[in-house]
Amino acid sequence: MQGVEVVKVDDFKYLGSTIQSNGQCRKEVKKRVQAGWSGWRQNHNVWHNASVYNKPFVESFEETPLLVAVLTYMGYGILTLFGYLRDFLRDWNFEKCHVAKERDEQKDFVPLYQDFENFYTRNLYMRIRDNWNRPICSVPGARMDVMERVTHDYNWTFKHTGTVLFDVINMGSYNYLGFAENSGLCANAAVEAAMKYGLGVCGTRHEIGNLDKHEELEKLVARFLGVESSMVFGMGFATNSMNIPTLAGKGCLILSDELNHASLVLGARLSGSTIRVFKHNNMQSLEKLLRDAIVHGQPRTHRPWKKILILVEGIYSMEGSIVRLPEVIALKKKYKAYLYLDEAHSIGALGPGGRGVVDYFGLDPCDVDIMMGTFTKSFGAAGGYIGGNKELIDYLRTHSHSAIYATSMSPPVAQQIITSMKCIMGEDGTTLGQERLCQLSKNTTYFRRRLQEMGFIIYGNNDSPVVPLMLYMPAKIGAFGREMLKRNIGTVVVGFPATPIIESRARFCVSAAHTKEMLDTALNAISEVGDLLQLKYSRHAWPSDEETNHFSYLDSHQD
Amino acid sequence: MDVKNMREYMGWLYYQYLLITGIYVLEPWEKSIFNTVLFTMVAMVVYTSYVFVPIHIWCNFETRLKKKDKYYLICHLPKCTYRLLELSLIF
Repeated sequence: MQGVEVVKVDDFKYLGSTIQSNGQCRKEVKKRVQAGWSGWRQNHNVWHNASVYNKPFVESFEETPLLVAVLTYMGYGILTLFGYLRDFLRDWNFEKCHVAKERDEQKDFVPLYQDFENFYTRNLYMRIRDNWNRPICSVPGARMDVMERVTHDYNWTFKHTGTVLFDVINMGSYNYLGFAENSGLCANAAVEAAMKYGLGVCGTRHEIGNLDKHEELEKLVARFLGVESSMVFGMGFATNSMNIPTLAGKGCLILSDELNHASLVLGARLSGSTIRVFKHNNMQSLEKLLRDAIVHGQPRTHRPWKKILILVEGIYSMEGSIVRLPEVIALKKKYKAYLYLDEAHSIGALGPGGRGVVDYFGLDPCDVDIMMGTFTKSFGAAGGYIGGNKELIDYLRTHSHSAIYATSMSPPVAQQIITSMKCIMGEDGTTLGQERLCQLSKNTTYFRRRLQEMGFIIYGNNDSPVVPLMLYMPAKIGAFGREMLKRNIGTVVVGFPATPIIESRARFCVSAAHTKEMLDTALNAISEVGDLLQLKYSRHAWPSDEETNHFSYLDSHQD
Repeated sequence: MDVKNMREYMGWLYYQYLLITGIYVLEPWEKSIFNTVLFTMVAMVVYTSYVFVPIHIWCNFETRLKKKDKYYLICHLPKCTYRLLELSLIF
């Protein structure tokens, strides 16, 4: 695949150093990024769609084969019938009921447990529940140890047998850069921090919970992202759900992507603004909503909206798709809206310098008003951050619910992030960060290519480390998880309600800690299970590596 | 060895049937109920086709051969069958 093409850059002074370039190659970019992000900018002509992308944007969402869709519905129909049968037997006391029920004295009251909502959980999820919540007894790195469980009453209760499955290849953890480790530079630094500060903070950021570690971390995050200032929070989910209400309120409009994460949806709902949803990654839908909003204004009064906030994610973890950021920024500038970018999965995983989706497209971080992300995925820690202008962050420091009420980040966790971030930036003196970024990129390309060649239906962009493999049928969800564990590979399978009802999938997360041998073992096992379960639905004959370049800029290959 | 391969292949086919119909996730007694019901329905279809398909083919052939327009002049089938056949002719 061709390298990143950078257009001509003007001379400019930044932080006392003059940077001048003309037509850099990928190596040059790597060198500059290793020297520390100095905010080099690019001038893009954003008026026409085709020129906003400087490299091919290849994604595919192959359509469900008709026969498979029909059989999937049939399978769900049969399971629903059996669900009704079992509910009938439970209701009439022919069999023991394991779910929560009201006591006999409460039968005349308003019903507490909405039977139909839990129908799916009781009758479908319970039967294959052993694929989730598997207890792990080691660090979730590239290999992990899983505790074995047995169930004697068909997944209602589990017992541990005492045996441990050692060295299970971990294809499910969000360990993109391999920083989930219990030895090495990051772990030692975290231990030192724990020795110095202890483990708990015993307070919120406003009340003696603000450590110098937090200040150091915030400055580092701001430098990493290329923004003026940033703020860190103890929990990634809480970052979204507690800060969107601070930024938007009544009289504001939130335009949110169809497939946004629950934290974004919760934050948008808590804020009290009007929410409108645009089709997933569809710029025409977004533009139409923006135009309607500006032309018609608020619903009854037709007054202009106080602000329009666009919520998008960097990588959507259920689809593996990357947001079309250049177009979103172009739209945002044209219609004067604000952009909130949630880089939970893309920070550290995309881009030549690991700076996320902004770096991946080669755009200016100043164009994104609010850059949010989490430290859970690529940094091996926990927590979230928000980066942006100094005024914005100062406002958040005083007004955010998370800052006032939520406990701040624990010191060893903050130290883990500081060490891993410095490692990625190359400031710790080693090239470990850059090696890991390259390894992740190679692993992603290799893994996706091999899976597509085998004939599976894989969703998403070719550069995203999240790889969803379609399963479709409900019985295959359970079968896939179990068969993979038998072959010593831990995978995550997802079904309704996280995905649409017929589009259940297995989601693989490629990591820089995976060696090629591990990936080959995993791929062979996946192929074997795919043949056993007949999962190779794809009707494309995928060309070999050298020929994948025939997609031009905007051609998202949708069948 | 062919018998062993055959048995393995039949086992694999049964596994596919379990996966596609979704029965794989059910408890054994539920599997038995579904298999019994399905087998009964298939057996009834096979029996009906064995008994009635040849006679219907012969009757159709004879009607066209003798250029009669009334099916019942050739065959001796129950009355309800003719009603159904009349209905099917409308479509």
